[in-house]
Amino acid sequence: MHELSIAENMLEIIENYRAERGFKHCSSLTVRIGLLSAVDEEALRFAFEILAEGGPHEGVVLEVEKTYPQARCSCGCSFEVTDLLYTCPRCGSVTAELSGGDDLNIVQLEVD
Amino acid sequence: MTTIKVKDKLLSKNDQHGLANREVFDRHRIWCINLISAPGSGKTTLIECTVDHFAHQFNIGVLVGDLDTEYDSRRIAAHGVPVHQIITGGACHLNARTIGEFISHFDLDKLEVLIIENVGNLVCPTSYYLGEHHRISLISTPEGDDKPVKYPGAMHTSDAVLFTKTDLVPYVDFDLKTASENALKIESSLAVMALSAKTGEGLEAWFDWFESHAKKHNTQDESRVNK
Repeated sequence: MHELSIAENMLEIIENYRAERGFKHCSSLTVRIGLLSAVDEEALRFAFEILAEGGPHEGVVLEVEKTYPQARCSCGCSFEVTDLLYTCPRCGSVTAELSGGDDLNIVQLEVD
Repeated sequence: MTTIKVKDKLLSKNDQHGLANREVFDRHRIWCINLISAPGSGKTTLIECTVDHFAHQFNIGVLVGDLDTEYDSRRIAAHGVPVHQIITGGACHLNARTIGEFISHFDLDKLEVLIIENVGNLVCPTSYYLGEHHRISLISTPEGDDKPVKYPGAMHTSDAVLFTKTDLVPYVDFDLKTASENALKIESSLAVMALSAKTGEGLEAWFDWFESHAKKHNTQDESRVNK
């Protein structure tokens, strides 16, 4: 449900940049969402579409870049975690130290 | 067509309010914790036995978030601590701005620990930093030992996870070792505890954790005044 307030925040950020840079139209918005960020892409797309409807940013294409945590196992092996039910490919350990993969950012706007 | 590269963090407005709250807590040497869990995992019961246990040791205040009713705040108020209920009117999480408004209702010079009981929801509250020093997730045994990996955001942003209602383990499919491994898969630095507020099993470990963090925080600055 909090995807709604995230989508609201995305529209606010577009508006802030429009006021600052003076562009007429934003055609696309790229956001980065990490596996650990607890944000559902489909819910975010739906919320963004609904909120933008009838406003100056209706039709803005939402590009989503997904990021994944990097795991470092105690055996020294490093690997990317795309599934949280991971095991270390080298020693089979079921736990490791994760870093990254918690992004929740706007990366870029395409404007004209 | 022009590309504007940006580095804006989403929900940064909430984070700013969270940092402002943190500044208030630190100025008054208040240790603040944020309890998050699904509905019915035992947050209110844990708070009740925690405030009883530390009744003569710390001045504890409680902020309780719920969609509706003041049931939980009445339960906690019966234990003699200052408590304020935040009725979110349907919102599924507490946000830092609301916390900022409510903390002024406490006598901040007297308060030593603030416990925030978030709205029962293990998804949305994870994205909203409230200014807390530590975040604690509760997962009750009937919810299953696979819950930590189903809700990675909660594990990733927490400092401790409490597996509650251990008295129900004989009746449900829950393996503590699997649950702990699943939590540590996401966040290897998590403090993992298992307890039953009903039987008292495991509560000592929680009380020790609570006491050591509260004391550490309250004594960090000896020059603190009005305490």
